[in-house]
Amino acid sequence: MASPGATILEAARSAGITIPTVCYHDHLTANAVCRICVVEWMGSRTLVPACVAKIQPNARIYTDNERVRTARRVILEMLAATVDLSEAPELQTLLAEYGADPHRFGSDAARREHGPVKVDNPFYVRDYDKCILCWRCVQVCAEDVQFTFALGFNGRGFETSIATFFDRPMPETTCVFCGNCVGVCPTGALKGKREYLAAQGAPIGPR
Amino acid sequence: MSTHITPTTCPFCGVGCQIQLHVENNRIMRVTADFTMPPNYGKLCVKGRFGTDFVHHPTRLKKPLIRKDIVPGRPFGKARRARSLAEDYREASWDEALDLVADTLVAIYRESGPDSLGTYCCAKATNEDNYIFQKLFRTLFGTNNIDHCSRLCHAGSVAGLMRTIGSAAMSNSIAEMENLDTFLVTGSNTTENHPVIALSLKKAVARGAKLIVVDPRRIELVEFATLWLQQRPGTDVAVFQAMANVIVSEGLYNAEYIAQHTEGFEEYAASLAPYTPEWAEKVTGVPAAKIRQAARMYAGAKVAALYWGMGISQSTHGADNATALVNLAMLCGHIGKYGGGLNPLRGQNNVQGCSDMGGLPNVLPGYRFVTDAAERSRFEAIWGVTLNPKPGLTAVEMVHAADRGQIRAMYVMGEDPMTSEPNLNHARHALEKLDFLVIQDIFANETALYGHVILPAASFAEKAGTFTNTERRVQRVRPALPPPGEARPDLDILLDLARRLERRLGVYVQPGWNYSGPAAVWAEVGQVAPEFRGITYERLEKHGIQYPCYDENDPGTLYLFADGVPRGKGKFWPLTFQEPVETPDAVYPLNLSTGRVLYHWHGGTLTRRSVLNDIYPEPIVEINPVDAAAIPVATGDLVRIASRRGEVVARVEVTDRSPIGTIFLPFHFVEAAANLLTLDALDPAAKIPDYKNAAVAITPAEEHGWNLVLE
Amino acid sequence: MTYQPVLTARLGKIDPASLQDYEAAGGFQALARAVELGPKAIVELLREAYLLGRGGAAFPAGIKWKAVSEAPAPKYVIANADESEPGTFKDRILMEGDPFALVEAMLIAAFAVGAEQGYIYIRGEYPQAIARVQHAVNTCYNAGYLGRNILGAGFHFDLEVRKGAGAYICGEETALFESIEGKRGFPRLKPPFPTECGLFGRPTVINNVETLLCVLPLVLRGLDWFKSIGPEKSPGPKLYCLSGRVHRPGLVEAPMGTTLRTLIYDYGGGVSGSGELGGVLLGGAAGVFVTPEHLDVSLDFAGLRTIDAVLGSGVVMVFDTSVDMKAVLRRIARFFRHESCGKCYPCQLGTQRQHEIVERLAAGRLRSGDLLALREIGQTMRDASICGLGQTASGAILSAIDRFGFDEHTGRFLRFDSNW
Repeated sequence: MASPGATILEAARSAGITIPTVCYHDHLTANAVCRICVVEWMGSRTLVPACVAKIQPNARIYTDNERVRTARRVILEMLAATVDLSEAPELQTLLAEYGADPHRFGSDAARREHGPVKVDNPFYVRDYDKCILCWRCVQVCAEDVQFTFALGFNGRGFETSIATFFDRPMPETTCVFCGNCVGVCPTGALKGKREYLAAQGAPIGPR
Repeated sequence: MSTHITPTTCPFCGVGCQIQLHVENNRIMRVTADFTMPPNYGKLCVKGRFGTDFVHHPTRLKKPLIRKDIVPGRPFGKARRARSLAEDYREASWDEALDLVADTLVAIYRESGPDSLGTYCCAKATNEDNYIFQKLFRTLFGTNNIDHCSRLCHAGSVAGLMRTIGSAAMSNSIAEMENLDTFLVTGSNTTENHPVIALSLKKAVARGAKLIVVDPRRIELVEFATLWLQQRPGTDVAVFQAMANVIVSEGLYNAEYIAQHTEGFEEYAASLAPYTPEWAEKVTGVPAAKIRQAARMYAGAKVAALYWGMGISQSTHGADNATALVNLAMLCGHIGKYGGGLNPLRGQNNVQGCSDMGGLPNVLPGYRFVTDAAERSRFEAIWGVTLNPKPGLTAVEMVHAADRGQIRAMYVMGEDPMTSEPNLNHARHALEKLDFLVIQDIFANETALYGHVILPAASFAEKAGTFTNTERRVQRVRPALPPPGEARPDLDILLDLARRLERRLGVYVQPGWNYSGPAAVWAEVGQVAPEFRGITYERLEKHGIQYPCYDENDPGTLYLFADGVPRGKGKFWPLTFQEPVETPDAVYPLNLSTGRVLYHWHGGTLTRRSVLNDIYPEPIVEINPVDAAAIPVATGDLVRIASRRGEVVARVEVTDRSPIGTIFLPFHFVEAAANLLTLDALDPAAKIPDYKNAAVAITPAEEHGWNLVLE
Repeated sequence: MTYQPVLTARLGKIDPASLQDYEAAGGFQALARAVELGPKAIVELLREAYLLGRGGAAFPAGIKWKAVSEAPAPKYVIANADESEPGTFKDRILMEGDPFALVEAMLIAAFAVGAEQGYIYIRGEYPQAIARVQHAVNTCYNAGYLGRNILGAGFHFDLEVRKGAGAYICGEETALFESIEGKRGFPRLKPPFPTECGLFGRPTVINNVETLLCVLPLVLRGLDWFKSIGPEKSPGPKLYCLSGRVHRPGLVEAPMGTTLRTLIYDYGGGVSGSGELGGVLLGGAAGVFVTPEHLDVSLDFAGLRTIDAVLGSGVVMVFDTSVDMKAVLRRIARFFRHESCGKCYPCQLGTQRQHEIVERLAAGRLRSGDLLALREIGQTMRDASICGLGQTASGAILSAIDRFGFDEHTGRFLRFDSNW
């Protein structure tokens, strides 16, 4: 029996039912932006996001029916057709599990490309081609953790990107380089500069 | 490629974040944090997440080094600063180096007695290292001349807390912070010095807690404060006395708590009469109305916590500053509650543990006074030796004693007095009078270059043990890498040395010096100090435990004094306000406050050798726009800062973080060592110098003349 | 049918800058009456009148007002004048021609629910409306209708005009709150709903301009009058924005539930262009297409549900058989791709993919699988998007494909085949 005030996701977990998530993070505010966790709540016009919707007594909820699976599959297909998910193994697993075919939109489907990796500070790099806009970095930079507000958004819709104000380099922002954003990035869009350089084949200094 | 993840404890500040070192081919490639693990629950700051690369720095000490002019069996010269390691030192074997150390220490001890030895243990080393360190010098040499940098940070807090309530530890926990009701932060730039704790404090404000900041500087927390009292530097006692005056005169005090848990209220209350808010406004510059508001807010809170840092403690009346805070808390009964208590934020990763382990001249492990015959004999029974009943010298006193020739040999483990002592020019003269100086460290810091022998130690990432964080949480330190070259863990070095000493001295200590490892040392700590007994390495596998913890079923202690304070009754202390020892005058018209910045840590030994240095590579002095216009200088200019004791050159940042009339200079930069400027007058009770008040003059400078050589 | 317009009665007859004109034409009588009635009675009146929101979502205004009237202060009232739905122009005309009426309606709302601060959030592309409403607000401050102790009745109300900055999403009520708060216009998750946690996290009434203006005649003429207009389930006057291929396009005030046939042929003077009705877009870009078979359906919220259509903000956009329906769809798809805020994945990604496929459809280069993808994307956006923007972004396109006889093989719409 789910505790009162529990979300559908929490209730499902305690019942041993798996609901997939992408943007959700156990220790951050749930924003329900990815909509991968949607479920069908009988009587509701639309599907509801399990990560924020609170369970109610006698609710009839389908966590894995055709309507739900279609929504999840289509979102995954569209995402994979847009973003470089090569360093997001959990998303790769989900794509396979839902039989998602990102190629159905054609090889000319627009991808989100942001130009070269941003290497503008000593600590971490930002590779926005890999960014799925899960918002975790923005949240930890704001009220969830750091209260620094160095990260926000640029653009709109498909062209939305995570950015600093006026796209200024990180050292010119309020960033304090805590790297808590790096710690919650699920796709390798944010990573330590040391790792990034090592993967580029840069020499590792003497010991 | 070999890859593994080692969970351990962050080596920087006293928050004690739990970190995971991701190691590939013996290199730390990434640092992460477990979201389920106290005290930081997945959060880190820039130092913990990115700054541990110092362990790979090419200048790590890898072989024991002996000064070139030292030949076995022949006399050698006094300590002096080396030109460089390469020019003045030769590599040696561990046997040769440790035998030289043992022979020389024993010779000086036999000639001049136990008081001729001075030792610094280390707030960055493990509990086990420090326990063995102090045991070694107390049992084999009978000296209590043992101290560490805690003397230079929280001695004021300790003195103030001990004489009022009888315990110096932080009373509340990090876990309580997000749920605070009302809290006062003073003399702590928390967001830079305890960044992860600051996150919880900000969260508390976001959740509706009221925050009173009392600080001369416009620190980041001011942006989150309900009330900001910007007092003139050095007038803290006046602010808190006036708050107490309001609380008493308006009857806002907690009579029930005072009656039940304190003594000396009547006398104290009477002593407050002259300290009206109007008087304080004249002395401190804080409007009387704001003092009243703060007093009512603090006293009117359901529960309130006090947090403070170096701004309170590092003063020639640091003990009075802390005492004034304790008086406030006792008046309102804001002690011994969830979210209510007295919280000196500890600066170094294991400064709490180093003190707990007896790394102090007056106490044995667990704060048992060396003057307490009963306690002493309990230790004597366990250790099988006679102990010295006379308290030893404190850190700055040891430097003074060296200057007088009383202390002839010093053993310094992992500290850097030539950066951290006040009035460095004087400290250097004193150090140069030493007949023998032994350094045990991971880098050749400024002090090491005066050493006769330098012993290479393993870093936090290369050894096992425990650190105790600011909230009394004992946490595991685990090796992720092998030490470089022939470097050895501190505990190894100390035990090896002890075995060589016991043969030479013929003093045999129980249970000998052949511990199977740090776990065995820790078990002995529990034996001598029962408040640690319930904390075992097995239990620490899961997560850290907060002492007191008396047995294995004891979950540890979230907050202290729920059942009253250790002294029995808290003692109110009437105080008199005193000005700082040195205040600005016509020749030296500005006040210098020293401190730390987010990207560096203490003497800079570690962070100057880390990627952290890339973002903050130069000494920067913060100057208020009004003062900058008067000189005149602009951001980016170089200035010469001179006091009666020395001078340095730093780059200017014009900012209203500094109040008018006060400049701020971080002390991490050896090329512009802030402590060339500070003065070494001491608090009479705490023996702590004042790092926040010195009179200085500023003139524009053409060249900086910085010549930073990392040895 | 002799319906006497009330919402548009003063338009063109008074000087919109003149408070005297407004007062002479019955202005502020509703406020005086409202003060006589008292807050409770007004809220009750609104509830009984069953006034449904005219902005598009058709939520009963009385329920919002009641909830906020019972909530603790501080609380807010907001006029949503960010009229951005393509084909909608009713609020603009009301604000430009009768700005004091909006101020009066806001005063009644504030008085009824106990709010002391209000905002009128006007679409940035409406400079004339912004200027006139701002003038009306300033004038009302000077005349004592705004500020402290209004009409000596002991209530206080401050009213501020805010400008939108060109984002369609900011017409979504929670995105509008974000915008007023100085943040980027992202819609919030609901629940919590605005009546509980709205602007600055406080209980908030937010209504469309037309909805608010309906309150004035309701208060003055009473419940029975209001209920006598239109269908029982959604009574009252309604503004229809008639545009496209009709001889006399424009703003029509008629009883709720007027039929398409009446609007197009009586008010609009019939279909222009080819003269033959191809289809009608109801509700704007966020709406759906209907066909000539639907000419006699009652244009009210309940009636349209029976044919899977929506009234939305009252857009009635008429297309004759000569229009290039593929170009219309391409324009709609581009609109949504451009206006998606980018918060939730279905809309952020779906509006892009939908646009790509519709571009191919318009160019006659559909690939196998494209239509299935279009339907699945549409379903996913409708089912899983956070707000109304994504939920409705596929409705017009899919309804055109379903209702206008799209032939997958020829890539043509049979109904609009003659020219394209």
